[in-house]
Amino acid sequence: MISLRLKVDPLPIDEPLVVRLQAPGSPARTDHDAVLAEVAPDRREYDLNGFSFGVYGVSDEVIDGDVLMMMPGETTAHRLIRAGSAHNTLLVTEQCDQLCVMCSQPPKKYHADLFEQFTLAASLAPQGAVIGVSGGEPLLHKDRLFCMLEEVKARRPDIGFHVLTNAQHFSRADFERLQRLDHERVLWGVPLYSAIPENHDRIVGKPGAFANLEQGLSILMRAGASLELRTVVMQQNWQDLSALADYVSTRLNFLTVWAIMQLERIGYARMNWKDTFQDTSSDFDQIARAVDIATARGIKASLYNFPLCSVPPAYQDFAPSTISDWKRKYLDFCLNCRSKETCGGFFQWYSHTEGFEFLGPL
Amino acid sequence: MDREDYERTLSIEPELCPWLAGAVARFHYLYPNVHLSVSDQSVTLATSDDQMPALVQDFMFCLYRQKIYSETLPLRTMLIEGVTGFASRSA
Amino acid sequence: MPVVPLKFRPHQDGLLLFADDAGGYFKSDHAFLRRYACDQLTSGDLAFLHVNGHAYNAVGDLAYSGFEHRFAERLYLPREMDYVILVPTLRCNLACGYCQVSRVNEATPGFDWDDSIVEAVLGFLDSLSARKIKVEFQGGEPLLRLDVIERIRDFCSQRFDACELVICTNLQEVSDPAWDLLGRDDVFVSTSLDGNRMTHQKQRTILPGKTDQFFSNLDFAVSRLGSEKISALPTIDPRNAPSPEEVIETFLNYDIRSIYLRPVNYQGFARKKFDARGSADLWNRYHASFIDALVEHNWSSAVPVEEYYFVHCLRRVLRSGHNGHVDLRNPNIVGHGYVVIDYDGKIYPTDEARMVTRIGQFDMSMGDVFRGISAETIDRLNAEALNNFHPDCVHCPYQAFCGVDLVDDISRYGRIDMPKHMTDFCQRHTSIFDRIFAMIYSDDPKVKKTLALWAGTSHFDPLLAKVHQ
Repeated sequence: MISLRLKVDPLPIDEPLVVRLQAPGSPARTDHDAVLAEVAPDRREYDLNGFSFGVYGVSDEVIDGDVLMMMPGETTAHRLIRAGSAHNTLLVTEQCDQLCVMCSQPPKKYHADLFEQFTLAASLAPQGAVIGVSGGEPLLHKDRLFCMLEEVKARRPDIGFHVLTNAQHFSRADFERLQRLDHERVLWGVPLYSAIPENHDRIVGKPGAFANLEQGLSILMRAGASLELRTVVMQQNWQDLSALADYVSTRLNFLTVWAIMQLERIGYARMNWKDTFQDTSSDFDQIARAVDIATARGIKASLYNFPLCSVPPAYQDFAPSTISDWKRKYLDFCLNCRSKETCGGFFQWYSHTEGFEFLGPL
Repeated sequence: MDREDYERTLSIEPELCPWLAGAVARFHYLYPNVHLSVSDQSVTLATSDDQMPALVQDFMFCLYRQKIYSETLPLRTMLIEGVTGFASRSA
Repeated sequence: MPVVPLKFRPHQDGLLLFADDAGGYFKSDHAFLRRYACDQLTSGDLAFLHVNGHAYNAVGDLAYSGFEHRFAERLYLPREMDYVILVPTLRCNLACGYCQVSRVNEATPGFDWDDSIVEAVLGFLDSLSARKIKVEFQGGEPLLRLDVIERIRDFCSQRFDACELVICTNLQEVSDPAWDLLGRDDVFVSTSLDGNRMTHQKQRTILPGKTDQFFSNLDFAVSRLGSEKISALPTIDPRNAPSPEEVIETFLNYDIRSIYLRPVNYQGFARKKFDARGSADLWNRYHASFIDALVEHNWSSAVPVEEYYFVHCLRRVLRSGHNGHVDLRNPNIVGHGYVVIDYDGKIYPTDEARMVTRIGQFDMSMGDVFRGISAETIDRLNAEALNNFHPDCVHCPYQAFCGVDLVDDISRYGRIDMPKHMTDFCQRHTSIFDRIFAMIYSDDPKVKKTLALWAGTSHFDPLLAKVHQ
C-alpha cells in the first residue's frame, strides 16, 4: 500500500504549511517550492526560502512535484498531491449530515478548516490534474468550498475537480456560482441508492434525504453541471436496481456517467459486511438489467470497483480500473490472469474469505 | 348527392362538446368523403363505405385529441419557452 | 398531478401505443384512453405515469426537469459547420439508370472545377471555425479528379486538427495512385452494391465485363483496405427487387454487416424512368420483408446483420439526442451544419436541394464559393422545418422520434404543406415506427434477440416495453 504520509523533520511553524517538492536544479518557481539540496540513503534534504528540512523513507519513490502539508509540531507530513498519481483526494471535512450503512469514512463531530491550504495545494498540482474533493460532506461548508473551486479556477483553469457530495445542500441561490464553474472541469459525484424514497433514506440514515436529493439534482441539471451518479450495490438495494435504472433514464438523462459500484470493505461497511455485501460474482442479474436499460437509453453506465473475473464477459467492457492506486491490491491467482493490466484489482482491505465466491484468472 | 348507405349518430357528452367543432374540422380533413352533420350534442356520420366502426373510433380519437391539445397547450408553451428562453424564467 | 400531453395510436392486440413529446412511451387500453381524455385518471394511472416520466408534482421538480431535458435533447441544434460535400466533377464513367445526381459522359468538357473554383473552395474551408472536419466527395465519379481530392486532403490535414474523407466512388476504374489514396488512414470508401450481381448489372454496370470489373475491385478493396473502411449501399427498385436473403448473402461475402437499404430516388434521372407515385406502399412491404429476413438470419448466424436506417430509427425511439442522420432531424435546419459545393462552385444546403434546383423546380442555392453563403431562402424554409406543432404531427405518437424533410416534399409535390399522411416521408416512417414498436412489444424470441442486438445491449429489458392495464 502506498503511504499518504511522509516522515519529516518538524519545521518551526505554528500554522499548516503547504510545500511543493522540486527536483534538484529546478528554480523555485513560487514561494512554496522547496528544492532538493542533498540526497542521503534514507533522507532527502529540501531548501525552502533559506530553511531546510528533511524527508525520510522515499528512496525508491519519485516525489518530485508532490505537494506536502506540514502540520505544526508533527513529524509526518500529508502528501496532498502525489504528482505521479491520478488519484489525489483532498479530505475537506469529516463532518457529515448522513449516516450511510456502508460509509467508508465515518463522520466526526469537529471540523478542521484547511480550505486555504487546499486551495494553495490544488494550485500547485501538475498540469491538467484532476483532484478529488471528499469528506464527510464537503457541502456542509458550501461557501468555503465554492471559494476554493473558484480561486483555483482563476489561477489554474487547467485543474479539474471531482467533488463527492450528497447534494442535500444546493439551493437556487447557488445557481450562478455553479454555472460559472466550468462543467468540463468539475464533476459532481452524487450517491443515489434506490428510486424508492424510503429505501434510499434508510440506507443513508436520514429521513427526507431522497426529497432533498431530487431538488439538488434538479439544480445541478439546470446549472448545466456534470454529474457522476453513484450507486453502491448492496443487499439493501439489490432488488431496486432495475427500477432505479428506469428512474435514471426518465429523470437523470443529463448525467455524464452512472457509476454502479461494488462495496469497499472499510468503515461501517466492514462492520456491517455480512448484512450488506452482495456477492455479484454468483448472481449478476440485477446489475445486468440496470446496465442494459441504461445502455439502450443512451446513458453511460460504468462498473466501479469490480474485479473483472467477477463480471460476466458481456459486461466486462463496462468495468474500467477505478480503485485508487494507494489502496489497491491483487490476489495470488491474479499473477496468471491475462487481464491483469486492465483490471482494477481489489481494495487493500478486501477479505477473500468473506468476499466473492466465484473468482479466478481469466 | 351520392347515396350514403351507412349512417351513425353519436351522442357526445357535454364535457366533450366544447371541442366538437374542432374535431369535426379535423375529421373532415382526414376523411373528406365522409359526410358529417352536427347538432348541439351529437354528430352524425354518413358514408358509402362499410367502415363505420373504424370511422366512429377515429372520430372519437379526433375529439379526444382536440381536447388534449387545447388543454395541454399552456404546458407545451411553457416547455418551449423553457428550452429556448431559459434566462427569462424564474423556475 | 399534471400529466404531459400524450399522443396515441392503435397498436396490435387491441391496445394503443401512447407517447409524449420527449419520446417516452407505453401501451395501454381504450379504457385508459377514455379516463385520460375525460380527466378521470385513477391514482394507479397517475402512479404509473409518474414512474414512466409522463407526470410531475410541481414545475421544476426532478420529474419535470428530467422531462424538460429529454424534450430539449430531442431538438436538433446545428453547431458550427464541420461537414462539407464536394462535387468536383459531373463526369462519370457509368450511366446508372436511376442516377440521382445528374451526370455527363466522361469526355464532356465544362462540368469540372477549374483552378479558380478549387482555390475558392480552399478559401471556403479555411474560413470554417471547426477544428475537426469531414469532407465527402461525390460527383459524377470523384476519382476522375484525383488531383482535386489530393489537393483538398493535403490542405485539410494541415489546416484542421482532424480530417475524415469519404470518397463516394463507383469502384469501376481505380488507378494505383487512387488505391494509395483510398488506403490512407483518414480516407473511407462509400460505394453502391445494388443487392446482388444480377440487379447491380441491370441497374448500374449493364455489361458483364463492367460488372466483373466492379466486383473484382470491391474484392480487392475489402482485402486491401479492410471492410471497416468500406460502406456499400444498395439502391433497390421495389418493383424488381432482389430477395432479401440474396442481398444479405452478397453483403456478408464482403464482411459488410450494416446494410443501408435505399429506395430508388425520385429525382434526377430516376424521375423519368421510375414511376414514383404510390411507391411508398411497395417499398414499405419490401422493407418489412427485409427486416423479417434479418431477424431470421440473426437467430442462427454467428454474424449478425443490421439494416442501418431501421436501427437508426430504433435508437431514436429509445434515446434523445440521436441526430446523426441528416435526413431525420427535428427541426431539420439545413445549410448550417453542412453544405454541398457543386461542380460550378454553387453552394446548396443538401444534395436533394441541388437536384431540385437542377431540374428547374425551385432555386435552393445559397450562394457560391466566390461570393460566400447567402442563406435567406434556405432560412425561410428552415423556419418551417419543425414538426412539433404541425397539425398532423402534433397528434402523432411518433413525432418525437421522427423528423421533417421539406426538400423531399418540394421535390415530390412542389409544396411543403401537404397533409403529412399523404407524403412519402410520413408513409415510410410510419411504417418503420409501426414495425419498431411491433418488435419492442413482441414475445417472439427471434425478434427479441435481434432487438437486443440492434439496441446495443445484451438483452432487451421488459422495462423498455411497459404495458399499463
